[in-house]
Amino acid sequence: MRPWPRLLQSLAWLAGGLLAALGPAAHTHADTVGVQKTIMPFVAQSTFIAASDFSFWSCFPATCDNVVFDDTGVGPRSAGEPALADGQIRVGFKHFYDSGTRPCNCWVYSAEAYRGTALFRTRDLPHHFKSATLVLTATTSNTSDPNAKTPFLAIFRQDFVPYPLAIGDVQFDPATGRTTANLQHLGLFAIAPVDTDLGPPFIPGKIVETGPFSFRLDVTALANGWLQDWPKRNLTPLHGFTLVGFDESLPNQSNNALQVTYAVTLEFDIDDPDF
Amino acid sequence: MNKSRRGYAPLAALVLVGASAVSTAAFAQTMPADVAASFAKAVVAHDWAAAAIYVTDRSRADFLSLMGLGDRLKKSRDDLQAAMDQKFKRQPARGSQANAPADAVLAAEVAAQREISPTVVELDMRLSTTRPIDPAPIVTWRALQTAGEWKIELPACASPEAATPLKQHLQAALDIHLKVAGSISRGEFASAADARTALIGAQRAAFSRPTPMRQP
Repeated sequence: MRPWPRLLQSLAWLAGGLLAALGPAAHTHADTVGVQKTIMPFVAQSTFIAASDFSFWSCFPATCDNVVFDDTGVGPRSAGEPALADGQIRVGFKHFYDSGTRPCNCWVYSAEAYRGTALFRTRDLPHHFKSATLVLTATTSNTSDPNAKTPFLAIFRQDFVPYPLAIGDVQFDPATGRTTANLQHLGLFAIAPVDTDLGPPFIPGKIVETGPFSFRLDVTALANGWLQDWPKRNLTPLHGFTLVGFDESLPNQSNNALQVTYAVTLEFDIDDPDF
Repeated sequence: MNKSRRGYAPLAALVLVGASAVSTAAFAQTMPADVAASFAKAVVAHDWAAAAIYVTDRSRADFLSLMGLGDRLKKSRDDLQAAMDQKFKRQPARGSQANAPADAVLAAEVAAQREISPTVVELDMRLSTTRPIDPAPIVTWRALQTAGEWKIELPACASPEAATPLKQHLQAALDIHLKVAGSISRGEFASAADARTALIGAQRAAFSRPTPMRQP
Protein backbone atom coordinates (compact mmCIF):
# COMPACT_ATOMS: atom_id res chain seq x y z
CA MET A 1 0.00 0.00 0.00
CA ARG A 2 1.32 3.43 -0.93
CA PRO A 3 1.99 5.74 2.05
CA TRP A 4 -0.17 8.63 0.77
CA PRO A 5 -3.60 7.14 1.39
CA ARG A 6 -2.42 5.89 4.75
CA LEU A 7 -1.38 9.45 5.70
CA LEU A 8 -4.76 10.79 4.62
CA GLN A 9 -6.47 8.13 6.67
CA SER A 10 -4.39 9.04 9.70
CA LEU A 11 -5.15 12.73 9.26
CA ALA A 12 -8.83 11.98 9.01
CA TRP A 13 -8.73 9.96 12.23
CA LEU A 14 -6.84 12.76 13.94
CA ALA A 15 -9.32 15.34 12.73
CA GLY A 16 -12.15 13.21 13.95
CA GLY A 17 -10.52 12.86 17.32
CA LEU A 18 -9.98 16.58 17.62
CA LEU A 19 -13.58 17.27 16.70
CA ALA A 20 -14.71 14.79 19.25
CA ALA A 21 -12.62 16.45 21.92
CA LEU A 22 -13.25 20.08 21.11
CA GLY A 23 -16.37 20.38 19.08
CA PRO A 24 -20.05 19.71 19.39
CA ALA A 25 -19.45 16.03 18.84
CA ALA A 26 -18.87 15.87 22.57
CA HIS A 27 -22.48 14.68 22.52
CA THR A 28 -22.79 10.96 22.62
CA HIS A 29 -25.70 10.85 20.22
CA ALA A 30 -26.79 12.68 17.13
CA ASP A 31 -29.88 14.88 17.12
CA THR A 32 -32.36 13.83 14.51
CA VAL A 33 -34.28 15.93 12.00
CA GLY A 34 -37.97 16.38 12.68
CA VAL A 35 -37.90 15.37 16.31
CA GLN A 36 -37.95 17.24 19.53
CA LYS A 37 -35.30 17.26 22.17
CA THR A 38 -36.20 18.15 25.73
CA ILE A 39 -33.63 19.05 28.31
CA MET A 40 -34.11 19.42 32.03
CA PRO A 41 -32.63 22.22 34.10
CA PHE A 42 -29.22 21.44 35.50
CA VAL A 43 -30.08 23.81 38.32
CA ALA A 44 -33.62 24.55 39.49
CA GLN A 45 -33.77 26.61 42.59
CA SER A 46 -36.29 28.79 44.32
CA THR A 47 -35.39 31.57 46.68
CA PHE A 48 -37.80 33.43 48.87
CA ILE A 49 -38.01 36.51 50.98
CA ALA A 50 -40.38 36.55 53.92
CA ALA A 51 -41.57 38.64 56.81
CA SER A 52 -43.68 37.85 59.81
CA ASP A 53 -44.75 39.29 63.12
CA PHE A 54 -47.33 38.63 65.77
CA SER A 55 -48.95 40.00 68.87
CA PHE A 56 -49.80 37.18 71.15
CA TRP A 57 -50.51 39.36 74.13
CA SER A 58 -53.31 41.52 72.76
CA CYS A 59 -55.83 39.38 74.58
CA PHE A 60 -53.96 39.02 77.84
CA PRO A 61 -54.75 37.33 80.13
CA ALA A 62 -56.93 35.29 77.78
CA THR A 63 -55.08 32.90 75.44
CA CYS A 64 -54.89 33.77 71.79
CA ASP A 65 -56.54 31.32 69.46
CA ASN A 66 -54.40 32.04 66.41
CA VAL A 67 -52.87 29.38 64.26
CA VAL A 68 -49.56 28.59 65.87
CA PHE A 69 -46.34 29.31 64.08
CA ASP A 70 -44.53 26.53 62.34
CA ASP A 71 -41.02 25.37 63.10
CA THR A 72 -39.43 27.86 60.76
CA GLY A 73 -40.74 30.77 62.74
CA VAL A 74 -41.90 32.32 59.51
CA GLY A 75 -45.51 31.51 60.11
CA PRO A 76 -47.99 29.00 58.81
CA ARG A 77 -46.78 29.43 55.28
CA SER A 78 -45.86 25.85 54.59
CA ALA A 79 -49.28 24.35 55.15
CA GLY A 80 -50.33 22.34 52.16
CA GLU A 81 -47.26 23.18 50.13
CA PRO A 82 -45.62 20.14 48.60
CA ALA A 83 -41.85 19.97 48.50
CA LEU A 84 -40.25 20.92 45.22
CA ALA A 85 -39.23 18.00 43.05
CA ASP A 86 -36.23 17.95 40.73
CA GLY A 87 -36.61 20.42 37.92
CA GLN A 88 -39.33 22.37 39.69
CA ILE A 89 -39.33 25.99 40.71
CA ARG A 90 -41.78 28.12 42.68
CA VAL A 91 -42.68 31.67 41.84
CA GLY A 92 -45.11 34.15 43.31
CA PHE A 93 -46.33 35.37 46.66
CA LYS A 94 -48.46 34.22 49.53
CA HIS A 95 -49.70 36.44 52.31
CA PHE A 96 -51.32 35.34 55.53
CA TYR A 97 -52.91 37.60 58.08
CA ASP A 98 -55.04 36.60 61.04
CA SER A 99 -56.42 39.31 63.26
CA GLY A 100 -57.53 36.88 65.93
CA THR A 101 -60.94 37.00 67.50
CA ARG A 102 -62.51 40.26 68.46
CA PRO A 103 -62.69 42.19 70.70
CA CYS A 104 -59.06 41.64 71.69
CA ASN A 105 -57.28 40.78 68.50
CA CYS A 106 -54.11 38.76 68.66
CA TRP A 107 -52.85 39.45 65.17
CA VAL A 108 -50.31 37.40 63.29
CA TYR A 109 -49.05 37.77 59.78
CA SER A 110 -46.58 36.15 57.47
CA ALA A 111 -45.77 37.04 53.89
CA GLU A 112 -43.47 35.40 51.41
CA ALA A 113 -42.41 35.91 47.81
CA TYR A 114 -40.64 33.31 45.72
CA ARG A 115 -38.37 33.71 42.72
CA GLY A 116 -37.64 30.68 40.62
CA THR A 117 -34.48 30.12 38.60
CA ALA A 118 -33.90 27.37 36.04
CA LEU A 119 -30.46 26.95 34.46
CA PHE A 120 -29.52 24.69 31.56
CA ARG A 121 -26.11 23.39 30.58
CA THR A 122 -24.74 24.66 27.32
CA ARG A 123 -23.35 21.23 26.56
CA ASP A 124 -26.87 19.78 26.69
CA LEU A 125 -28.11 22.00 23.86
CA PRO A 126 -28.59 20.47 20.43
CA HIS A 127 -26.28 22.01 17.85
CA HIS A 128 -28.82 22.70 15.20
CA PHE A 129 -32.39 23.54 15.98
CA LYS A 130 -35.27 25.29 14.38
CA SER A 131 -36.82 26.56 17.56
CA ALA A 132 -36.30 26.57 21.29
CA THR A 133 -39.21 26.73 23.69
CA LEU A 134 -39.20 27.32 27.41
CA VAL A 135 -41.98 25.12 28.76
CA LEU A 136 -43.52 26.12 32.07
CA THR A 137 -45.96 23.49 33.29
CA ALA A 138 -47.87 24.42 36.43
CA THR A 139 -47.94 21.47 38.80
CA THR A 140 -49.62 23.26 41.71
CA SER A 141 -51.10 26.70 42.08
CA ASN A 142 -52.41 28.79 44.94
CA THR A 143 -54.27 31.93 44.04
CA SER A 144 -56.83 34.19 45.63
CA ASP A 145 -57.54 35.90 42.31
CA PRO A 146 -59.75 33.85 40.01
CA ASN A 147 -58.80 36.09 37.10
CA ALA A 148 -55.05 35.74 37.53
CA LYS A 149 -53.28 34.48 34.43
CA THR A 150 -49.65 34.36 35.44
CA PRO A 151 -47.78 34.48 38.74
CA PHE A 152 -44.70 36.15 37.33
CA LEU A 153 -44.21 39.78 36.52
CA ALA A 154 -41.10 39.36 34.41
CA ILE A 155 -38.49 36.90 33.24
CA PHE A 156 -34.80 37.64 33.41
CA ARG A 157 -31.81 36.01 31.77
CA GLN A 158 -29.24 34.28 33.88
CA ASP A 159 -25.72 33.46 32.71
CA PHE A 160 -23.46 31.74 35.14
CA VAL A 161 -19.72 31.61 35.42
CA PRO A 162 -18.71 28.86 37.76
CA TYR A 163 -15.66 29.03 39.90
CA PRO A 164 -13.37 26.04 40.20
CA LEU A 165 -13.08 24.22 43.47
CA ALA A 166 -9.54 23.87 44.74
CA ILE A 167 -7.58 22.47 47.61
CA GLY A 168 -4.09 23.43 48.61
CA ASP A 169 -1.74 24.74 51.21
CA VAL A 170 -1.98 28.29 52.39
CA GLN A 171 0.95 29.89 54.16
CA PHE A 172 0.80 33.22 55.91
CA ASP A 173 4.00 35.14 56.59
CA PRO A 174 3.40 37.51 59.53
CA ALA A 175 6.60 39.41 58.77
CA THR A 176 5.50 40.47 55.34
CA GLY A 177 1.75 39.99 55.71
CA ARG A 178 1.88 37.95 52.54
CA THR A 179 -0.30 34.92 52.00
CA THR A 180 0.92 32.26 49.60
CA ALA A 181 -1.46 29.69 48.30
CA ASN A 182 -0.51 26.57 46.44
CA LEU A 183 -3.79 25.51 44.95
CA GLN A 184 -4.66 22.37 43.15
CA HIS A 185 -7.81 22.53 41.08
CA LEU A 186 -10.09 19.58 41.47
CA GLY A 187 -11.80 19.76 38.14
CA LEU A 188 -15.08 20.39 39.92
CA PHE A 189 -17.13 23.51 39.68
CA ALA A 190 -19.28 25.29 42.18
CA ILE A 191 -22.26 27.24 40.96
CA ALA A 192 -22.16 30.92 41.67
CA PRO A 193 -25.09 32.31 43.66
CA VAL A 194 -28.10 33.50 41.74
CA ASP A 195 -27.41 36.87 40.24
CA THR A 196 -29.57 39.39 42.02
CA ASP A 197 -28.65 42.17 39.59
CA LEU A 198 -31.20 41.06 37.07
CA GLY A 199 -30.79 43.72 34.40
CA PRO A 200 -33.51 44.36 31.85
CA PRO A 201 -36.34 41.84 31.54
CA PHE A 202 -36.09 39.21 28.86
CA ILE A 203 -38.74 39.52 26.17
CA PRO A 204 -39.57 36.13 24.72
CA GLY A 205 -41.00 35.60 21.27
CA LYS A 206 -44.37 33.97 20.90
CA ILE A 207 -46.11 33.06 24.15
CA VAL A 208 -48.71 30.31 24.15
CA GLU A 209 -50.89 29.58 27.16
CA THR A 210 -51.31 25.83 27.35
CA GLY A 211 -53.39 25.64 30.51
CA PRO A 212 -53.99 27.45 33.78
CA PHE A 213 -50.71 29.23 34.55
CA SER A 214 -48.89 27.03 32.01
CA PHE A 215 -47.02 28.52 29.11
CA ARG A 216 -44.74 27.82 26.16
CA LEU A 217 -42.38 30.70 25.47
CA ASP A 218 -40.34 31.03 22.32
CA VAL A 219 -36.71 31.51 23.35
CA THR A 220 -35.13 30.57 20.03
CA ALA A 221 -33.12 33.75 19.58
CA LEU A 222 -31.71 33.60 23.07
CA ALA A 223 -30.85 29.90 22.88
CA ASN A 224 -29.12 30.52 19.55
CA GLY A 225 -27.00 33.07 21.33
CA TRP A 226 -26.05 30.46 23.88
CA LEU A 227 -25.03 28.15 21.08
CA GLN A 228 -22.91 30.86 19.47
CA ASP A 229 -21.18 31.03 22.81
CA TRP A 230 -20.26 27.36 22.50
CA PRO A 231 -16.47 27.90 22.51
CA LYS A 232 -16.89 29.39 25.96
CA ARG A 233 -18.98 26.52 27.18
CA ASN A 234 -16.51 25.78 29.95
CA LEU A 235 -16.47 29.39 31.05
CA THR A 236 -20.19 29.91 31.01
CA PRO A 237 -21.74 26.50 30.99
CA LEU A 238 -25.10 27.52 32.42
CA HIS A 239 -27.76 29.72 30.95
CA GLY A 240 -31.33 30.15 31.98
CA PHE A 241 -34.07 32.23 33.43
CA THR A 242 -35.25 33.76 36.67
CA LEU A 243 -38.98 34.28 37.10
CA VAL A 244 -39.91 37.11 39.41
CA GLY A 245 -43.38 37.21 40.93
CA PHE A 246 -45.89 40.03 40.85
CA ASP A 247 -45.71 41.15 44.45
CA GLU A 248 -42.61 41.19 46.61
CA SER A 249 -43.91 43.85 49.00
CA LEU A 250 -44.57 41.49 51.97
CA PRO A 251 -47.62 43.34 53.32
CA ASN A 252 -48.70 42.83 56.91
CA GLN A 253 -52.45 42.63 56.51
CA SER A 254 -53.21 40.69 53.40
CA ASN A 255 -54.61 37.27 52.73
CA ASN A 256 -53.84 37.14 49.03
CA ALA A 257 -51.86 34.55 47.14
CA LEU A 258 -50.64 34.02 43.62
CA GLN A 259 -48.06 31.29 43.73
CA VAL A 260 -47.33 28.54 41.24
CA THR A 261 -44.96 25.60 41.20
CA TYR A 262 -43.57 24.89 37.75
CA ALA A 263 -41.94 21.94 36.10
CA VAL A 264 -39.49 23.58 33.73
CA THR A 265 -38.01 22.16 30.55
CA LEU A 266 -36.41 23.48 27.40
CA GLU A 267 -37.74 21.97 24.18
CA PHE A 268 -36.00 22.08 20.83
CA ASP A 269 -37.33 21.32 17.38
CA ILE A 270 -34.35 19.83 15.55
CA ASP A 271 -33.86 20.91 11.97
CA ASP A 272 -30.55 19.39 11.04
CA PRO A 273 -28.70 16.28 12.11
CA ASP A 274 -25.45 16.50 13.95
CA PHE A 275 -22.32 15.70 12.07
CA MET B 1 -45.72 30.73 88.17
CA ASN B 2 -47.34 28.97 85.31
CA LYS B 3 -48.44 26.07 87.46
CA SER B 4 -51.52 24.43 86.07
CA ARG B 5 -54.64 25.31 87.97
CA ARG B 6 -56.94 23.03 86.06
CA GLY B 7 -59.73 21.71 88.18
CA TYR B 8 -59.66 24.71 90.47
CA ALA B 9 -62.91 26.16 89.18
CA PRO B 10 -65.03 24.62 91.98
CA LEU B 11 -62.53 25.83 94.51
CA ALA B 12 -62.66 29.24 92.90
CA ALA B 13 -66.39 29.30 93.36
CA LEU B 14 -65.97 28.59 97.06
CA VAL B 15 -63.36 31.27 97.34
CA LEU B 16 -65.67 33.69 95.63
CA VAL B 17 -68.47 33.01 98.08
CA GLY B 18 -66.15 33.71 100.95
CA ALA B 19 -64.48 36.61 99.32
CA SER B 20 -67.68 38.36 98.42
CA ALA B 21 -68.46 38.78 102.09
CA VAL B 22 -65.38 40.85 102.70
CA SER B 23 -64.87 42.36 99.29
CA THR B 24 -67.22 45.30 99.73
CA ALA B 25 -65.20 46.73 102.56
CA ALA B 26 -61.90 45.81 100.98
CA PHE B 27 -62.60 47.52 97.65
CA ALA B 28 -64.69 50.45 98.73
CA GLN B 29 -61.74 52.75 99.16
CA THR B 30 -59.45 51.34 96.45
CA MET B 31 -58.70 53.08 93.18
CA PRO B 32 -59.04 51.51 89.76
CA ALA B 33 -55.27 51.30 89.33
CA ASP B 34 -54.95 49.46 92.63
CA VAL B 35 -57.56 46.92 91.62
CA ALA B 36 -55.88 46.46 88.23
CA ALA B 37 -52.52 45.93 89.90
CA SER B 38 -53.96 43.33 92.28
CA PHE B 39 -55.76 41.58 89.46
CA ALA B 40 -52.60 41.59 87.32
CA LYS B 41 -50.56 40.14 90.17
CA ALA B 42 -53.00 37.25 90.58
CA VAL B 43 -53.12 36.64 86.84
CA VAL B 44 -49.35 36.62 86.48
CA ALA B 45 -49.25 34.13 89.35
CA HIS B 46 -51.70 32.03 87.33
CA ASP B 47 -54.08 32.10 90.29
CA TRP B 48 -57.40 32.30 88.50
CA ALA B 49 -59.43 31.95 91.67
CA ALA B 50 -57.75 34.94 93.27
CA ALA B 51 -57.94 36.90 90.05
CA ALA B 52 -61.63 36.18 89.66
CA ILE B 53 -62.35 38.15 92.82
CA TYR B 54 -61.38 41.32 91.01
CA VAL B 55 -63.48 40.89 87.89
CA THR B 56 -67.05 42.05 87.49
CA ASP B 57 -69.77 39.72 88.62
CA ARG B 58 -71.28 39.26 85.20
CA SER B 59 -67.98 38.42 83.52
CA ARG B 60 -66.62 36.11 86.19
CA ALA B 61 -67.92 32.89 84.70
CA ASP B 62 -66.61 33.82 81.26
CA PHE B 63 -63.26 34.78 82.74
CA LEU B 64 -62.83 31.43 84.47
CA SER B 65 -64.04 29.58 81.40
CA LEU B 66 -61.59 31.37 79.12
CA MET B 67 -58.68 30.87 81.47
CA GLY B 68 -59.50 27.18 81.80
CA LEU B 69 -59.72 26.75 78.05
CA GLY B 70 -56.44 28.61 77.62
CA ASP B 71 -54.73 26.28 80.07
CA ARG B 72 -56.08 23.22 78.30
CA LEU B 73 -55.05 24.54 74.90
CA LYS B 74 -51.56 25.31 76.12
CA LYS B 75 -51.24 21.83 77.56
CA SER B 76 -52.53 20.28 74.34
CA ARG B 77 -49.98 22.29 72.33
CA ASP B 78 -47.17 21.16 74.62
CA ASP B 79 -48.38 17.56 74.53
CA LEU B 80 -48.65 17.60 70.75
CA GLN B 81 -45.13 18.96 70.39
CA ALA B 82 -43.82 16.30 72.74
CA ALA B 83 -45.67 13.59 70.81
CA MET B 84 -44.15 14.82 67.54
CA ASP B 85 -40.69 14.94 69.05
CA GLN B 86 -41.06 11.43 70.39
CA LYS B 87 -42.74 9.88 67.36
CA PHE B 88 -40.41 11.37 64.82
CA LYS B 89 -37.29 11.34 66.98
CA ARG B 90 -36.79 15.04 66.71
CA GLN B 91 -34.86 17.24 69.03
CA PRO B 92 -37.25 19.66 70.72
CA ALA B 93 -37.16 23.04 69.05
CA ARG B 94 -35.11 25.54 70.98
CA GLY B 95 -35.04 29.25 70.66
CA SER B 96 -37.46 29.34 67.78
CA GLN B 97 -40.63 31.30 67.47
CA ALA B 98 -42.48 28.04 67.53
CA ASN B 99 -42.36 28.47 71.29
CA ALA B 100 -43.70 31.99 71.17
CA PRO B 101 -47.24 31.15 72.33
CA ALA B 102 -45.79 29.47 75.39
CA ASP B 103 -43.98 32.61 76.43
CA ALA B 104 -45.22 34.12 79.65
CA VAL B 105 -46.05 37.51 81.05
CA LEU B 106 -43.85 38.34 84.02
CA ALA B 107 -45.60 41.49 85.12
CA ALA B 108 -48.35 43.90 84.16
CA GLU B 109 -48.34 47.48 85.37
CA VAL B 110 -50.63 50.42 84.83
CA ALA B 111 -49.09 52.62 82.15
CA ALA B 112 -51.99 55.04 81.75
CA GLN B 113 -55.58 55.48 82.74
CA ARG B 114 -58.45 57.48 81.30
CA GLU B 115 -61.69 58.36 82.98
CA ILE B 116 -64.50 57.54 80.61
CA SER B 117 -67.17 58.41 83.16
CA PRO B 118 -67.30 58.65 86.97
CA THR B 119 -67.85 54.89 87.08
CA VAL B 120 -65.76 53.74 84.12
CA VAL B 121 -61.99 54.02 83.79
CA GLU B 122 -59.83 52.63 80.99
CA LEU B 123 -56.45 51.25 82.01
CA ASP B 124 -53.52 50.66 79.68
CA MET B 125 -51.48 47.81 81.11
CA ARG B 126 -47.84 47.51 80.05
CA LEU B 127 -46.68 43.91 79.93
CA SER B 128 -43.24 42.54 80.68
CA THR B 129 -42.73 39.23 78.91
CA THR B 130 -40.19 36.45 79.21
CA ARG B 131 -38.98 37.31 75.74
CA PRO B 132 -38.57 41.08 75.77
CA ILE B 133 -40.61 42.89 73.15
CA ASP B 134 -39.85 46.46 72.12
CA PRO B 135 -42.06 48.37 72.52
CA ALA B 136 -43.62 46.53 75.41
CA PRO B 137 -47.10 45.23 74.62
CA ILE B 138 -49.99 47.25 75.96
CA VAL B 139 -53.42 45.81 76.67
CA THR B 140 -56.41 47.86 77.69
CA TRP B 141 -58.73 46.84 80.48
CA ARG B 142 -61.68 48.62 82.00
CA ALA B 143 -62.45 49.24 85.62
CA LEU B 144 -66.13 49.57 86.46
CA GLN B 145 -67.49 50.89 89.72
CA THR B 146 -70.55 49.05 90.88
CA ALA B 147 -71.99 49.25 94.37
CA GLY B 148 -68.99 51.26 95.46
CA GLU B 149 -66.48 48.69 94.25
CA TRP B 150 -64.07 48.92 91.36
CA LYS B 151 -63.90 45.71 89.35
CA ILE B 152 -62.01 44.76 86.22
CA GLU B 153 -63.78 44.03 82.97
CA LEU B 154 -61.63 42.38 80.31
CA PRO B 155 -62.47 43.09 76.68
CA ALA B 156 -62.91 39.39 76.03
CA CYS B 157 -65.33 39.07 78.91
CA ALA B 158 -67.25 42.31 78.59
CA SER B 159 -70.32 40.47 77.40
CA PRO B 160 -71.41 36.98 76.46
CA GLU B 161 -71.36 38.12 72.84
CA ALA B 162 -67.68 39.03 73.20
CA ALA B 163 -66.68 35.90 75.04
CA THR B 164 -68.57 33.35 73.00
CA PRO B 165 -66.56 33.47 69.74
CA LEU B 166 -63.24 33.36 71.57
CA LYS B 167 -64.39 30.42 73.67
CA GLN B 168 -65.61 28.64 70.55
CA HIS B 169 -62.29 29.20 68.78
CA LEU B 170 -60.26 28.06 71.75
CA GLN B 171 -62.41 24.94 72.02
CA ALA B 172 -62.03 24.31 68.29
CA ALA B 173 -58.26 24.77 68.49
CA LEU B 174 -58.19 22.40 71.45
CA ASP B 175 -60.21 19.78 69.55
CA ILE B 176 -57.92 20.05 66.51
CA HIS B 177 -54.81 19.58 68.62
CA LEU B 178 -56.28 16.53 70.35
CA LYS B 179 -57.34 15.06 67.00
CA VAL B 180 -53.91 15.53 65.43
CA ALA B 181 -52.23 14.12 68.53
CA GLY B 182 -54.44 11.05 68.17
CA SER B 183 -53.48 10.69 64.53
CA ILE B 184 -49.80 10.89 65.45
CA SER B 185 -50.16 8.15 68.04
CA ARG B 186 -51.96 5.96 65.49
CA GLY B 187 -49.10 6.43 63.05
CA GLU B 188 -51.18 8.24 60.46
CA PHE B 189 -48.41 10.68 59.53
CA ALA B 190 -45.19 9.80 57.78
CA SER B 191 -43.29 12.78 59.09
CA ALA B 192 -43.45 15.64 61.54
CA ALA B 193 -43.91 17.96 58.60
CA ASP B 194 -47.01 16.06 57.54
CA ALA B 195 -48.43 16.28 61.04
CA ARG B 196 -47.75 19.98 61.27
CA THR B 197 -49.25 20.57 57.84
CA ALA B 198 -52.40 18.77 58.94
CA LEU B 199 -52.52 20.79 62.15
CA ILE B 200 -52.08 24.14 60.49
CA GLY B 201 -54.37 23.28 57.61
CA ALA B 202 -57.16 22.24 59.98
CA GLN B 203 -56.78 25.42 62.02
CA ARG B 204 -56.75 27.65 59.01
CA ALA B 205 -59.86 25.95 57.68
CA ALA B 206 -61.61 26.37 61.03
CA PHE B 207 -60.52 29.95 61.64
CA SER B 208 -60.83 31.40 58.18
CA ARG B 209 -61.60 35.02 58.87
CA PRO B 210 -62.03 38.05 56.64
CA THR B 211 -59.17 40.51 56.69
CA PRO B 212 -60.19 43.60 58.62
CA MET B 213 -58.85 46.99 57.62
CA ARG B 214 -56.67 47.38 60.62
CA GLN B 215 -53.03 48.15 60.98
CA PRO B 216 -51.32 45.60 63.22
